Amino acid sequence: MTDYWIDVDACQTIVNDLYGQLADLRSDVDRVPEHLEDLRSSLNGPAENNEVERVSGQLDGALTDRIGTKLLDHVDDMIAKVEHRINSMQEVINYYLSGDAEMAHRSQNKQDEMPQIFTETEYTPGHPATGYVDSPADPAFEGGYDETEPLTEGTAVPNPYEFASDHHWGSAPDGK
Amino acid sequence: MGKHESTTFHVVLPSYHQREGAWNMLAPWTPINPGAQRGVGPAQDIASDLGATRERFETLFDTWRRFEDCYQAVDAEIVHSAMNDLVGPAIALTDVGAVVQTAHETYAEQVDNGALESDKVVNDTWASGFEDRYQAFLNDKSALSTKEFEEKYGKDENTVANDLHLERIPYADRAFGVTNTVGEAREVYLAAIQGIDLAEMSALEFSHRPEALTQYGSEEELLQALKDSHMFGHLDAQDLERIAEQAWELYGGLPSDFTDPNGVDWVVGPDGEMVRSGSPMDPNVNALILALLADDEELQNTELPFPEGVQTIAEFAVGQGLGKIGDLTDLTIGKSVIAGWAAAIVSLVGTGFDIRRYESELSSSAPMLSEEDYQSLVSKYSGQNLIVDGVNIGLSAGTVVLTTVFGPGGTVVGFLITEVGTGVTEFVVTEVGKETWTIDEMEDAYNEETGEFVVD
Repeated sequence: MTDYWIDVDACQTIVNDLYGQLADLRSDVDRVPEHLEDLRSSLNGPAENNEVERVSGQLDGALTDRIGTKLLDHVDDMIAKVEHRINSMQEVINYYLSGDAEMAHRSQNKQDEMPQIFTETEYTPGHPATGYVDSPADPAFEGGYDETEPLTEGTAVPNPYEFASDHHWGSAPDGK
Repeated sequence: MGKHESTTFHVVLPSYHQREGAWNMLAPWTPINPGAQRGVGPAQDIASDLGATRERFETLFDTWRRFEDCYQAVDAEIVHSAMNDLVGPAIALTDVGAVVQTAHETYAEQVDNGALESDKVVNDTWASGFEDRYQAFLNDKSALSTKEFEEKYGKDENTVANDLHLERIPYADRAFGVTNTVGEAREVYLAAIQGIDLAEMSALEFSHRPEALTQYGSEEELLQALKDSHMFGHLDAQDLERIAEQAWELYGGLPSDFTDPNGVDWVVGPDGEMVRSGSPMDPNVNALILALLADDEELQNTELPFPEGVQTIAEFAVGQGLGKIGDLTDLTIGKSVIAGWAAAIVSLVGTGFDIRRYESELSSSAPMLSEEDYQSLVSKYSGQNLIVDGVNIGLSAGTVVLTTVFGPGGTVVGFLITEVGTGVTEFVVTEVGKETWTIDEMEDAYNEETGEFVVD
């Protein structure tokens, strides 16, 4: 009997929540360019001599570079990583849910690494499935196990998340 | 135009006359205020945009951590910790916001504090009269004979020219000072912005001071820590036993910000460095204890000794932003209350270099520190204080301008040090007294068998 288990419904709920939060990540940072413009325009005061003029130009350039470019790139990079990881997790769920995982593990005689898959659980959609399961031995799981039929042939992937992240099964939207 | 004026006046102080039309190029022009206050709002907006963005990321990271409850495949650990590397970059967002906001506010204080306006009023009032007298002098010098000139002025041309020259020097200096002040303030501002290094700011630092690594292994240890605490040690032992019992029930479920590859939980500590979850420096531990104390009818009116005076526990709790003590009756709601309160407490810490304030706010933020650890931390910052005092001594001699740049929650991100003589400004990220590991060093220091860290 495997020591591993996955509650795919609860995982899917999390992924759905993550996609919702991903969509909102930009809501505040998107105002930075406008506020940066206001800030820079406040610094366009009289320079009065060449030295101050030079410093003011450098300051404007530094603000544009550090905030207008590098900081926004930093956030873009973070968001891209977050999105990629959520997509990868969606692929992992699909891998287990489709039966590909089970079939692959069986064909390679790696059943001990195949997690038990739970698809009917007590959680209410939209709520985190926390707290009601501790382990596969938990009585809450009895009767909740739904052995999904294997659908396709495949290879058992030792680290499905990393595999999805590196290669993709192609089942998630906008995967990178 | 007379034959003397070009050498006597216009060459001596050429920089005053760059703006054509300014006082007909006769009197020094005092620049108008650059209006830095207009930028304060936008700078604060940027800080607030970035703070809110960090919160959005952290909410998402918390959501991701829910996979711990439903994903236990072979690669569970990889999945659970998949967002770890973004914790530091998210913290960096607030650091950047703090630098922009502080840099602009510092600039605005320097140039928009009323002094430059009053300098301009003084200079402009004088300049209009001076311009008239100077123009009259130039006219008379051309129109009058030497004798007529001396009869009218009571002295010769050169003496009048020299007098006018001497008269304008202090005003010229004042005008030049205004320009200089603006220029220097912008130099400091520039250094702060150029000091924004996202890679550096994104790197997590893990405190390895003992009080940031210690955990309580049992209710008895927690009780002992309460008895040893520099703040609560004097409270009645039986009362403390009751608090320890309640606290121990919640101790294992404290929220954390980061789980390292060894499975150790960390939280952002009061100095902006990561501290081990459950340690005396964990804001959640301190908030938990204080919440329990403030909610305890026997103890809530007990007085606590603060460096700046005595407060009851209840007063202290309210002062920390815990407006509704009653809300804490149900501590099982745990995370939100405690985290919210912890945030309020943490925001009070990191006080720059007013050591009395630091003592007070350290007490407030980490009352569970033992007397020994508390004194050790205070002396760490006292050491920093001396260094800064050293710089301040320089400041009083007019050689160095020091600006402290505060980060999120008032933590000190660094200093701007301007050498007045050279005008060179450096942005120095605070390093003094730092006792931290990088993430790699932290992992290397972990002993898997004991679950503890080995500090050299």
